[in-house]
Amino acid sequence: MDNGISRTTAATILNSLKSGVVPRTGLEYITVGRKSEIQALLQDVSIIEQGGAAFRFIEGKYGSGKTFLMHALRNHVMEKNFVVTDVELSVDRRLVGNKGQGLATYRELIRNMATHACPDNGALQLILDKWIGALENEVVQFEGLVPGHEVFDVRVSQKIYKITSSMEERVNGFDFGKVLASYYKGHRTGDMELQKKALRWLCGEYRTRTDAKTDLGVNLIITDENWYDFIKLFADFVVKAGYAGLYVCMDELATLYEIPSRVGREYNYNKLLSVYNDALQGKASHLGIIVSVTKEAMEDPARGVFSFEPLKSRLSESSFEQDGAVQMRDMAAPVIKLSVLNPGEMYVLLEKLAHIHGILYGYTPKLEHDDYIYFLKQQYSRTLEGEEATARDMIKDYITLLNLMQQHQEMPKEKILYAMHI
Amino acid sequence: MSEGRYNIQKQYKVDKGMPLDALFQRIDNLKCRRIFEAEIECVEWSYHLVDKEGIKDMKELVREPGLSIFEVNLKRKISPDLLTEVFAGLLQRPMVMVYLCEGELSMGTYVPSGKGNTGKMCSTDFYPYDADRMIEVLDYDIDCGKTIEQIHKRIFATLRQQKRVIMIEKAFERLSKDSAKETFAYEFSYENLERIRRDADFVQSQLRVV
Repeated sequence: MDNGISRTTAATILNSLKSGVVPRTGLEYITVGRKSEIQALLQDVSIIEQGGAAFRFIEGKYGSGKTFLMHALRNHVMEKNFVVTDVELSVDRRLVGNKGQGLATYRELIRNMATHACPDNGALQLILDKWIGALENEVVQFEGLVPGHEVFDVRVSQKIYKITSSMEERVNGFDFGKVLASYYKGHRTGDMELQKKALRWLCGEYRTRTDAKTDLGVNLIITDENWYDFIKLFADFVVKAGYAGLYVCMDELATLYEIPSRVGREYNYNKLLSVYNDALQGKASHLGIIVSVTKEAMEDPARGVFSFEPLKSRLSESSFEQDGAVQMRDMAAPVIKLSVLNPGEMYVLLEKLAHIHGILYGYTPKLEHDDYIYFLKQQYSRTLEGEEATARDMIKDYITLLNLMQQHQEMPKEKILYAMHI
Repeated sequence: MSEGRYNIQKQYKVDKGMPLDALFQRIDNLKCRRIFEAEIECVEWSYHLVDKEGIKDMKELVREPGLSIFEVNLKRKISPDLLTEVFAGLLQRPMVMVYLCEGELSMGTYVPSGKGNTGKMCSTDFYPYDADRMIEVLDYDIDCGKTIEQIHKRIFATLRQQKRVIMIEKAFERLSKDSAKETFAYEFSYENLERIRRDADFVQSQLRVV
């Protein structure tokens, strides 16, 4: 297959992998051995496009490629005109907490909103402006009115209010619509301050209802308890603004497993349950949520997600899978279990990386079949000796090898390959 | 002069290097002699266990019949069975041999059974030297108050048991390595790699938005 990778993308891929992090772009060029997982997730994407919702857990060991898979999907759906957002859960960012950790998660999600036109986060204002612009265009195109015409603003306003009032029937939709209308009002009248206030409210930065009432005339603020309702409202809204839906990536769910108090963990698992139920019971639309979690954080009966019985009963493997029916996996199950790449898959990944390295530095890597095997056997021998060799570590070593070979092309490749101290 | 580790009066420290040239001269088989000359670094008589108490000097000790413990340092691994067989022929006495090579250890023992008989021999394969699996020559609880013959019988039995354990472990290790090799052979086969490449290309085409 002709890859058509640009040198910039090649540099991003190799530099990120060398540093042990997942590249932000070009992931499709190095996705190996994830056919069934990608197909399952793409199936979700098409459901979301059609107005449905999806929720998936990606479960796997450290270094098994959970974040990689999430980012690959994120990039793909962003290209498919979705609004995407991601958050890495941490001590300060949970689903719910007594110090505003749930709201902090929401804020991060809003801050990290990205679109095809604004791929590096901070896209909320752009989304709002695009929405208003699209409605203005409609008025120009279909009603023959031009900006400045005495009825132009009235017609745009009518369209805006039609949309915002359609959201009123959703939970908290009345206030959400009212704030969107305020944003438009600020846009129409040139009141930047009002626009900023509306943005602040949408970002969950209002601390008291009184302030919100004074500034925007709404009786509600976004809090730890209700933030997920606003994610659902955003999912609805972005579709009205011309996007395909909202795709939310949550990394490091293991953070919840590390909460020391049982009560704190259960609150969070309860919130997770309501998010999960909403997605699968059809209460949310145009919304996709993907969450990464380690096996331990998922299945530990004392502290993991499975310690919360309602989630355990929903997420446990079916008896078919548990009996290990010839490695069959139900890819429609809510939990996608990622296995580490097997040696054959690693081989193909190494081939791809050599090709990308060649593109970046304008040369043809001299590695052959036996060289890949030699390298991988060396790496896997660490595992046989009891040391866990993750794909991340192998790739880091391999890129060093490629760098050395490219920098010392006059030297026989064997000399470098066999000298590598793994 | 007893310096036993477990304060068993019967155990005496000897720490005497053996004259290898003179010793190996007595090996009849020339090939075997060449092997021993090339691969054995040194042989040390470490301890001597005797029933007699109150031995005054080394001269008296080495003449006293008992159980001798030798330590053999090897440059490369040789079959412990061969080593034990040859040393039994050379030394002609009840003995326990400890063979050390490349950070691994093996033990052998020879129990003579009177003139005209071959006696009993047993030796373990080499295994990584660690305290958990160290075969103790002496065990205070068991050996205290026993005769040298009884102690030797007990060591013989322990070694036989350990030999079996090590044999099973080695065989299992080989089995695991063989199955890993088979897995690798399949993983790197042309068919498998082609299938993975095809799948990766398919995924790439799926992820690409035109």
